[in-house]
Amino acid sequence: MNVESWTRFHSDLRHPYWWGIMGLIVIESTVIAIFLASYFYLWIVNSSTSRMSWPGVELPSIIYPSVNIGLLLFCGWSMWYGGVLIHKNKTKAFGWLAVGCCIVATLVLWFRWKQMLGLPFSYDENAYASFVWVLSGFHFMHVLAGILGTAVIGWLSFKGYYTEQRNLGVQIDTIYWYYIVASWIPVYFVIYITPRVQW
Amino acid sequence: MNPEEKKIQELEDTWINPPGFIGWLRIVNQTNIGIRYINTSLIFFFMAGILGVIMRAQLSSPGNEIVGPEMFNQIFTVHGTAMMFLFAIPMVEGLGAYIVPLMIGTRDLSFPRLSSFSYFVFLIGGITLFGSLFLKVAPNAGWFDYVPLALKEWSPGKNIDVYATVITFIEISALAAAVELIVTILKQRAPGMSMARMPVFVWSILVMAFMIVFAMPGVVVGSVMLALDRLVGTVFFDASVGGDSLLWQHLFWWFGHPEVYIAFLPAAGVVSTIIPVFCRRALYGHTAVVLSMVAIGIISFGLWVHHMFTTGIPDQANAFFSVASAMIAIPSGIQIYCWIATLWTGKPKFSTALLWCMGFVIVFVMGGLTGVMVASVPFDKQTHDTYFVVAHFHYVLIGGVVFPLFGGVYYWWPKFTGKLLSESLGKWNFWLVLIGFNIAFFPMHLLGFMGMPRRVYTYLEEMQWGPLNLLSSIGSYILAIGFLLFIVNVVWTYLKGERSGNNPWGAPTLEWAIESPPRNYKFVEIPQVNSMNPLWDEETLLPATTGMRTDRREVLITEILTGKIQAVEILPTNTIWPLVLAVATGVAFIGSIFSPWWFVIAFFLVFLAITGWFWPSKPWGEGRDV
Repeated sequence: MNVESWTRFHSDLRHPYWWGIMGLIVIESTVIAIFLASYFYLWIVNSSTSRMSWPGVELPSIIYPSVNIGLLLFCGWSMWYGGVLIHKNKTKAFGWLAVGCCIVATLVLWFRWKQMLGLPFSYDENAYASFVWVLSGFHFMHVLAGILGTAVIGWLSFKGYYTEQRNLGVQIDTIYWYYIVASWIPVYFVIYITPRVQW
Repeated sequence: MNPEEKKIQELEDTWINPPGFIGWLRIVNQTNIGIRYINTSLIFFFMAGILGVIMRAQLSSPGNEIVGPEMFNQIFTVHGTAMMFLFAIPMVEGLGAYIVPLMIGTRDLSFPRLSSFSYFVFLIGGITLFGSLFLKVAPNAGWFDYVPLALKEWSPGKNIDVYATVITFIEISALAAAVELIVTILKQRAPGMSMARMPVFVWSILVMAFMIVFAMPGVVVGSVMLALDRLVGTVFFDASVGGDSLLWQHLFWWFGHPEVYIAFLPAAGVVSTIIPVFCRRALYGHTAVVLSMVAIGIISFGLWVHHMFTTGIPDQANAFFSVASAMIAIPSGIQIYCWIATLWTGKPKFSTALLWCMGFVIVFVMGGLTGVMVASVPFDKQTHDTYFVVAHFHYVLIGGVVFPLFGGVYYWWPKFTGKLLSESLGKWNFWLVLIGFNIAFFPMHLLGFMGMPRRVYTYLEEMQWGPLNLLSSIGSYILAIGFLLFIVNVVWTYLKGERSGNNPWGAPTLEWAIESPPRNYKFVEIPQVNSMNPLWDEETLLPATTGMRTDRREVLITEILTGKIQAVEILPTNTIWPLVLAVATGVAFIGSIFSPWWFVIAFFLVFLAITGWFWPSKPWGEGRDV
């Protein structure tokens, strides 16, 4: 088989990087799953032994976390649509969508910051409080990483590096944004919604 | 220069390693990284082994004061931690990084820069752990580092901070290597090498890598929580405010038990590779062995609570995990029967490599039998935390991991260096280790029955543990001499070793089809594979393709199940950025021992390093096919 004329520009699941980013996402998802399993473990242990009523502190407001879901979904959409545009060689348009994604994601961070400062408990008050702080902080770090990475991708796009064929970096960044968005949803439900449900 | 010579020269130039010390730091070639992994993990193995000998010297007679109680705590903790995190995992991953690409007929791992990064992380983490011992601030709560002992209140020094941060740091290395191995195995096998034709060793590495991906996050989460509890003040493990000490045990053993099989499965892959070669027949029950490996990989995630039988968890949970623990003996037993059947029906040539495998079968079966014993809750409650358990896991880990890995080193040494290790020195090496090991560890079963607890730095003469401890210590000295002979063998071979040729054992897998040691590009042409044992079944290997460019690092991408050609991709070249990223990550974790702000600072250093890593070098070209 002669492969001389084959393209070397792949950005889908034929490229090892696509699998590599999936590997990273599986690892990080397992980390989050174990955090959440630990959360329920402590809830069950405390309830079954009557050691502490869960969550044991005044519940945090869900306004900012809920608004952030919408904003994060916009980030995921903008990166997806940016990918559509770049396949049509509209690289500048993609660049502006990347800028938009970064701005909205920065808003997510600002809301998260305000939310954390306004929490009715500190991280050392009890185990529930520790989970809220650590999981929100963990996700904060991921959004920040997403912003920085997307800023670089956007910059390269404006400089003309990406084309309708050479856009692997865009695809990888987009997949990571999907993960940032998707990971917030279970975290949000577990730490903000489940303590409100009357079981 | 004819066209073939020109092509080879161009491949040499494209895949060249940069010269000098800075160049050495920039190399990303898989054989170089693999050898670094193997060498470094062997050095850590010998360092941790010396700690073991010091412990045995201390325990050789009652009332010894060679080391005091605090130093003894640090020594046994670093011994266990180093053997598991700095020897077992990196050694099997290093062997995988070196052998797998050659065995599946590709030119490099999928992410060469990631392999360089993971090696430097491993190296920095290892140096930090041993460095802390020299500074007398090493972890001192045992390799499983139970809370509440490991919390700030009971361990106020920096010792446990070193554990909590360095362990997560080292796991980054293991996780990166695991992803790399999975993708390489799934996507870069030579055309025609379907899953069914994949060598057993490659299967074992694939299962191991998947296990790492799902097991390691357990200890990552646990040690992050521990580090935060100690350094920031969160309360995940504080039972007075909703935390729980047993949470740590669950998280640790979620990783810790699969970890045994993470180390064992590649070792089983080595044995499944060596036995057929020296018996001159295909492996008996290839499919059964592969399915057993997959079964072990899955079942091993359902056993972790058997480390916690004495913690007061409900009887029903004990019963479930007891049955699951006994169940894993079934796939393990199937493998052992297949190896015995291969030996039985073949014509074994008892080379040193095969001897290590034979030793493995005997020692591992003994460790497995005591494993079935401690899987029983009533028995475990009697022997928990005694020397019986110490004997059991050394039979499993030295028998099940160290013996096969040394067999693998003897087997693949000609591929690594182009020279054969001395067979006569090798046999001395093997027999001294086998004899020394059994003298050192068999008496520990009896000491456990006599009630000697593990992790005591000394004992009273009236306990009557002295004679068996002395015997055990003498065994450990013989064991140490046995391992020293390996170093002697390496030096002797370096100086006077016999040239091996490309395939000294007449082995059937692809790594033996190329030069020893391999050129940086490995294969001039990627071969077409038509059987499970290509070098036994085919007279000549035919190239799978034409038209791959030689002026850049191209590899073939194939379909996961069938091995059909799917694409051609270009791999990145040598760079310093993986080292920079490893150092930045090290600042984040090791700096956290002193202040959490180091993590924040290093976050931005990591971003800069990643940007440098992926920044496209100019000229950028058209960015499309012309």
